[in-house]
This record gives sequence, structure tokens and C-alpha cells, in this order.
Amino acid sequence: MISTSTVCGGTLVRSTHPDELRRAFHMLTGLLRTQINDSALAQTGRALCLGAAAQR
Amino acid sequence: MFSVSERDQLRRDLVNAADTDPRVVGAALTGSAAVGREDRWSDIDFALSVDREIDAVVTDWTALMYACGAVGHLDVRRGSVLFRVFLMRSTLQVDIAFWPSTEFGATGPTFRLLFGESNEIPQSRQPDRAELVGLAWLYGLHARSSIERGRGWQALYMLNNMRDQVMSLRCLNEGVNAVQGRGLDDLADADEFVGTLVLSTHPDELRRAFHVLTGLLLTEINDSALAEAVQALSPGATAQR
Repeated sequence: MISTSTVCGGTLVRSTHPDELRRAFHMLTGLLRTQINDSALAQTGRALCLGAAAQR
Repeated sequence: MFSVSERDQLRRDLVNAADTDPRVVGAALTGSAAVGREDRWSDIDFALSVDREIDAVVTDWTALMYACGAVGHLDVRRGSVLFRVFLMRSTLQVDIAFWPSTEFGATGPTFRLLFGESNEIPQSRQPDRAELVGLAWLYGLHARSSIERGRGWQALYMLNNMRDQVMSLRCLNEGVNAVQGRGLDDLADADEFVGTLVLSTHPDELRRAFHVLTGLLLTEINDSALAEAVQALSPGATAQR
């Protein structure tokens, strides 16, 4: 089983390069979604991440 | 993701709603749109001057925003002004400021009055230098204890906050915007802070980043007694310039 700490470790940023920031943002947005019960708000959280992905 | 045309349409709808609400006696665009500096990521910043029934106005405008696709909101209060920040389904952010009409006015240069009258009010300022220094050493103290207690994530929290204060101090020095990270990318040597990024929550890595950050904080401190105490937080740290 992967620990919460290990998962959160993926949100650490190693540089300020846009690709690295997007990678960490993607992980962090996924973690935020797991904390949201409201489905409309959770969907918007997913859209935030897709918006970032679309800029790659 | 929202489009620029969707954002523009929603802003027009909000302006029209303000114009037809008899309780709203003035309105202004604030933020980047007020000075023609919007880009495709900009949010909507809108300020209302309300002369009566302000609670009812907030309730009605909140209902309007949810009818327009809001999925959540967050309140930020400053004095008697309520800043209600909406997240739209499209991921557009819409900030609506509800001002009592007696206080409505520009707190900075990004304010464009659409109708009504504004008052002369105090301008927003840069953060206080002494307070930034104080917060930096306070976060530094707790970074040190968290690291030594083996509380890696708490240490990371402290280091991130400490870095924010030290970078804001650098912004003050260079005369760029020190509020909410807005001037960080305008700093001449922002890359000096890359070494303060924490690559893992291992104690050695936390200590390394803390050491670099303490050195950068030392460059911002003029008082010798305070500098000596800060240096003792991470022995061997030296001012970086």
C-alpha cells in the first residue's frame, strides 16, 4: 500500500520549469479532488488540471 | 477551461446586472482589466458600491453567480468590505467586492469606475519590512525544530512560508510588487532561490534547503544582533551577497 506521505511527495517541485510545475500541479489537483465531496466542485478541480495539461 | 469571449460576456452581464440593481449606486472594474493588461488567464474583478440592504445584495448576487455556473465561493473580508471569490464551472475566477457606498473607492491604480461616484480612500501599500523579517525568523525557528523532531511535512510548511517572506523582502529591495507573489518573476536574481526548493522530506534535504534559505534571509537583515541569532539557527550560514 502506498502511503499518503509518498503520494504527497510527488507534489514537491524540483525546479520552476513550467513542465515541472505542471507535473506537481497535476498531482496536487488530483489530491485536492479526493478531498472534495461536492461533485460540481470536484469536476471543476479536474477541469483546472486539464486546463493546465492543455497548455503543454 | 473558459474562453476569453465567455469571460467578456459574463463581465458584460455583471455590469448590466449592476446597472439595473437600484441598491447598487456605483461599480468599477478592478485588476488587470481596469488597465488593459488582461491575458487569457486573467480573472474578473468587479467592485460594487452598495448604499442599502448590503446583506440582501450579497445574497442576491451570490444566487446570480450560482445561476451563471458558480460551483463554490470563498469570502475574504477587509474592514467592512466583503470580497466574495467565486469559482465557475469553467474554472474562471470571479471576484465581486461589496463596498458600502460611503467607503467605495480605488485602493490602487487598477480601478476603472464604470458608473457612480468613488471616494478618496487610503491606497494599498507594500508589506511592512520589519514584519516580513519577523515572520521569516519565526518560520525559521519552527523549521529548525520541525526538522530536528523528524516532522518532515511540518518542516516543509515552515520552509515554504519562510521562503515567501524572504522573497517578499527581496521584492521590497528591488521595488517590485511584494504582495501575493506578484513581483517574484520580476526579480533580477530569482534563481538564487532555486536552492531553497525542497526535493524530499528527508531530514538532510530539509537541512540543506534551510541552510540556503537562512543565508538568503541574512542578506536582508541589517541589525547585527538579530543577524547573529538568525545565523545560529543554521550554523555556518552566511549572507548570500
